[in-house]
Amino acid sequence: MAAFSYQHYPFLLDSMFLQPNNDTTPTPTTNKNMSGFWEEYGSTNPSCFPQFYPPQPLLNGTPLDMKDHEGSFVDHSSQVAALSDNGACVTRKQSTDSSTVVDNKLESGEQVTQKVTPASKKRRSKDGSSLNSAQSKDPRVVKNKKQKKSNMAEMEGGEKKSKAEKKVPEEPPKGYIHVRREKISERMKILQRLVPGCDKVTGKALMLDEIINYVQSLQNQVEFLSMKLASFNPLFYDFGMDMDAFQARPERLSNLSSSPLPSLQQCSPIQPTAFADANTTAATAATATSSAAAAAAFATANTYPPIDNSALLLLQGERLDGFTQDSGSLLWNVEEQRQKLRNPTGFSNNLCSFH
Amino acid sequence: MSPQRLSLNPRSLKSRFTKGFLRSLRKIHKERPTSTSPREIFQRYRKVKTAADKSLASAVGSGRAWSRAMLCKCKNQGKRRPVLVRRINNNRAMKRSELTEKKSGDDDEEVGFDQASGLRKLVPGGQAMDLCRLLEEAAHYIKCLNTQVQVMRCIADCYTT
Repeated sequence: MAAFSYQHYPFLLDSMFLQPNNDTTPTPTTNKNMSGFWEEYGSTNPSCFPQFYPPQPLLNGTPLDMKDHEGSFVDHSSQVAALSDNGACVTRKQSTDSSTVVDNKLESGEQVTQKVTPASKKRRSKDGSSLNSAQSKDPRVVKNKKQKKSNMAEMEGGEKKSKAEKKVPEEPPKGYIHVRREKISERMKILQRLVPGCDKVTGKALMLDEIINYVQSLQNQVEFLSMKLASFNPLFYDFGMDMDAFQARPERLSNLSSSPLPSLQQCSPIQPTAFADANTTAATAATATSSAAAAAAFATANTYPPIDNSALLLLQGERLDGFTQDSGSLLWNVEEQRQKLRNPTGFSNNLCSFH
Repeated sequence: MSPQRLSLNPRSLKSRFTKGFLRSLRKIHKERPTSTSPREIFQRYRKVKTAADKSLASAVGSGRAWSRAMLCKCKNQGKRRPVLVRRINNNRAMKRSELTEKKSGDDDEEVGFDQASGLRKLVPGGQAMDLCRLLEEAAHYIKCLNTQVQVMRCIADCYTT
C-alpha cells in the first residue's frame, strides 16, 4: 500500500520539474533541489526510463500500454519513495503549490478528459506528467484527443448497446400485454355497468366477486321460478289448451288488419307474438275480465303502477313510438283483446284508428 | 328490477324466449297433466329448468359460446344414456380446460385465480375460454339471465294471482 500512497509523488515531482521550463511562479530553490534529485535519480536508474517514458506507446494511447505504463509507474514511484525520503518530504511541502501548477498545465488534458471516468483521468494526468518537458505538448494533445475519441466511441457504443438491449426484449410483449389489459379492463367496465352495486367496488378481484355473486343469484332465481312454475299444475294445463285456441286468431286478425292501410303492414308482423303474449295472460281464465286482471298482474309484476283507462288511451296514442314500454304494450294488447271480445267486427276499425 | 325498454318485436330476445319457453311449458304440462306427488313435481321442475335454459339458448342462437355450450348440455341431458355421453363430454372438457389453463394462466394471475375459475364454473362453457372471452360472454350471459328472470317472474306472478 505504500506504493499507492506515494503514487502521486512522481506526478508531483514531474510537475515541479516542468515548472522552470514553463517559467511559472514557484520558488527556484526547491525546484532546483527537486530537479537535481530527479537528474540524480535518472542517472542512477537509467534502465527504468525506457519503461517509464516510452514515447511511442503513449502516442498510440492503447489501454494495454497504459496499464503497463501504470504498473511500471507504480513500481517506480515505490522505488522513488524507498530511495529518497527527503525527496518525499520536499514534495510534500511543495504539494500545495505544485498542484495548482499541475492544474493549470493540465488544462488542455483536463478539458478533454472531463467527460471520462476519474480513474482514466488520473491515468492520463500521470501520463501527461510523465512526459518530460523535452516532449512537446502537441503529441499529448493529439493523444488525448485520440483517447477522447476512442472513449467517446466506447461510451456511445455502450449506450447504444444498452438501448438496443432494452428495446429488443421489451417491445413485443409490452404491446401484447398492453392490448390484452385494455381489453380486459373494457370488459370489466361493461360488466360493471350490468351488475348493480359493482360501481362502488374497486379492484378487479372484488368486482369479479360481485359479478360471481350476481350471476349466482340470477341462476338461483331461475331455479326458484322454474320450481314455482312446475308447481302450478292445473293452470298450465288450461293455459296450454287455450293457447292453441288463441294462436289461430292473430293470423286471422293480421289478415284482416293488413288490408286497409300500408302503415298497418309495418305493424302486422309484430302482432302475432304480441297476441300470443297477451293471449297467454288471457288464457288463464275463461272470461275477458279475468284476462284484464291477469294483465294488471303483469303490469304490477313489472313494478309499473296500475294504469286506468284514461292512461290506456294515452298509451294507445303513444303506441306509434314503437312499443316503448313493456307494460304499456301489454296493456294495449289487453285493451285490444277486450275490444275484440266485445265487438269482434269493429276491431279492425279500432286498429286503423290506432294508426 | 328496473323497467327496461323492450319492444314486442318478435325478433327481440325477450319475445323469442317467451314464445319458446311457453311452448315448452305447454308441452311439459301436456305430458302429465294431473300429478301432485313431490317426485313428479321435482321431475317437472327439472324439465322446466331445462326448458328455460334451452329456450334461452335457442333464442340467443349459436352466435355465442355460452349458448352453444348450454344447448349442448341440454341436448345431452335429454338423452337416454346420459352417463356415457357425460363421460365423453367431461373428457373433452378436461382436455380443453387443460389446454386453455396454460394459455390463460397469465391472465388469471392478474385478476386472481379463484375469481376467474369461479366465474368459469358459472358461465356455461366457460372452462374453455380465456379471460378476455370469459368476461365478454359473462356480460352477455348476465343480460340474458336478466331477461329470463324477468319473463319467468312475470309468468309466475301472473298465475299465482
